[in-house]
Amino acid sequence: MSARARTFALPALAVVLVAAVLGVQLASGGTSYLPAAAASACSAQAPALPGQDDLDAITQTIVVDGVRRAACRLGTSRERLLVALPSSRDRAALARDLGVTDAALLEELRSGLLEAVARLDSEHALPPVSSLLDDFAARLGLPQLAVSAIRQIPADVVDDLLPTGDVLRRAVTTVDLAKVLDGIDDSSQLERALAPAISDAAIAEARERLSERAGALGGLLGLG
Amino acid sequence: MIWLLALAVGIVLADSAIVTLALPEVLRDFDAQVSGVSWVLTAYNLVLGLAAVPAARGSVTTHGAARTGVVGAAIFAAASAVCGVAPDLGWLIGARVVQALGGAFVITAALELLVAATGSSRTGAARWATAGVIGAGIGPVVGGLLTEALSWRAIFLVQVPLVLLAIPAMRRAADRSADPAWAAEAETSTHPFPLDRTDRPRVAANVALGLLSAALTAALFLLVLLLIEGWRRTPVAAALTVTVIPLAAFAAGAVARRAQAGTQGEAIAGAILVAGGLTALAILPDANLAWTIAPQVLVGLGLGLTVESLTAFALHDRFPRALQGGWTIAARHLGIVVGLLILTPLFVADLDRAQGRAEESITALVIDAPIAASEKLELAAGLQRQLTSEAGRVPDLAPAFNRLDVTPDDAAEVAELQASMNDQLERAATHAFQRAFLAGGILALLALIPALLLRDTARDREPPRADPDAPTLVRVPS
Repeated sequence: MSARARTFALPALAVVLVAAVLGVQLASGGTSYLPAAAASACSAQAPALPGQDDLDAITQTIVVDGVRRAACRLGTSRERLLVALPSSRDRAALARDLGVTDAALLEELRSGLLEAVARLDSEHALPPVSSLLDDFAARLGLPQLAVSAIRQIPADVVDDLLPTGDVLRRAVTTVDLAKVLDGIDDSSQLERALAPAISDAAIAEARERLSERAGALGGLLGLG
Repeated sequence: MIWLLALAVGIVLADSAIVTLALPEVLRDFDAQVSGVSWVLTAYNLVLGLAAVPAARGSVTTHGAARTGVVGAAIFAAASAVCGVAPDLGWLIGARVVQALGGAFVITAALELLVAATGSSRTGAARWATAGVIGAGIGPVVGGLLTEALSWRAIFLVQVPLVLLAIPAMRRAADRSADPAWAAEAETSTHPFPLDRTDRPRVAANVALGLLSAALTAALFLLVLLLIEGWRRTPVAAALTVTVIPLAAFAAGAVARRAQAGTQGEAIAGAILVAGGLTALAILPDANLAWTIAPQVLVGLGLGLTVESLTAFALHDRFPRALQGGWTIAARHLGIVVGLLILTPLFVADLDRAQGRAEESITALVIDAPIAASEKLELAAGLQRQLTSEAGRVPDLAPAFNRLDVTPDDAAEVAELQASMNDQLERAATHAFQRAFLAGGILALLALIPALLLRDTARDREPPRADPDAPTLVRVPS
């Protein structure tokens, strides 16, 4: 073999070796070993409907679907929104990136949650309040006397006075979302922020419906 | 004597990369950032690169080399001891600067002393180049093992006695060259070089060395960081994994002898192999260590074919030897600095981006996980704590899962969730190194330009011939 041929035989062998290694790696998915990209919030499917008896799953569905809807409207991914929500600083940074105010971002979240509640309500996926009384009583820390008194009320009367969807809508509308998000890492703080919102919403809903009924009864009796 | 001198050369050159595997531990010990810690490597290589040629001016004669070598070894040993007990990153980087200064004297003096000790300019230069390649190749492995077994500080402390052992060897090499009986037999005595002759350095060979060193930095520095920080492997596992590079470099010697391609053929083939190996590291199909072996074999073969051959070519028939050796050291280590300066910001920025992407994919997994809301909230809080506590690094998610109070019904889902999250982190970390590896590959390809300009054939691998007609030749003073 001539000196020139010897000079270029080794580079040729190197090219073959490199091509073989790169070929095997490309064939084994070398260019697709990437972290999963966040799906577009608008194209992501709404979460599956939970069973009526699974309060935990219902709560999750409302939050996940609500965040997804808010993210879609804000033009970001649900993951990015969810990562930013617990910290007021990250929230403000995300709002700046999206060209909205912090308050507007929270209002979009509220709208998303309301839509999520409406979806579950329209699909009859929300359980009647009467079936949740024990759970609510435990979560709200109601005295035993009050729990016993409530149990004496017939279930259909309770459900008529407190439709789950309406109570949740009222709670979502009135709750201080910033306060809830600030306490999301601490379950007791979260409970303290959520419990009054839900109980206030339930009381306001019951009061409004009772006054409607009283008004209608008064009208019937000619007292209006 | 020869082995002690070669050991000193190996240690000085190993130091350019020996702390690579220890960087993650240094990072944690000093609570520093990757960009800051990379100066532990950069400062050493920068000073060694800048000081090599000036330091070589004191080593053009054997006795001058012995003097500067002894001073250099003492400085190197003292600075190594300071590195080993450095209280903060500033002290460590400062001591590394002094260490490199001492190293520049040792390395350039060792070339002349090895020629004197072996009695042959060719054999001495070959030993010098080989010791450097071995040192640079196994440095990270030794560093990783010491870090795992003891601490990163041990890397510097063990060097102190080893480098001091070279001091008597330097004196003996100088004494030996002064022995008329030895000088009569030695090739150096029949081929002395003129003291007033200063050859121009071989630019193409030195530029190729510089570019390949920059690319090889990517291979060693980035691969080690990927293994330890990205894939969270132990330093021992990482050390054993990167052993493939020096092993392949040794194998390259046999390939080169068989192929007889000459310096140009070896340099071209080596540049292609290093570029291909780095490209292969940029497209790993998953985070299994086995996938890194073939790319490392390519890089190791490239290393073995190029560095020793180009160094020998740069030194061949060029005088003064120490000064020519200084140029090769300057080219290699400034190349490493260029590599670090190009690649570190690139990979730090990509790591930052990858962290955001990993955070989103982990969030998606938490959102969609079929576990109770209370567990999700607890897990999310734990993951957030891990991300915050390991800011700027790929987090270890295990503590967040260990703290989780999981119901038996959810145990399997939680275990699957943890595996999926770790997979996403490994994907994100691997992706973060992709552009840096590719940039290293481009640097290796650039080395093809000076490699194509090399004018040599296999004849250059033959021993140098004396110039019998040179009228100004004088004997090396003893």
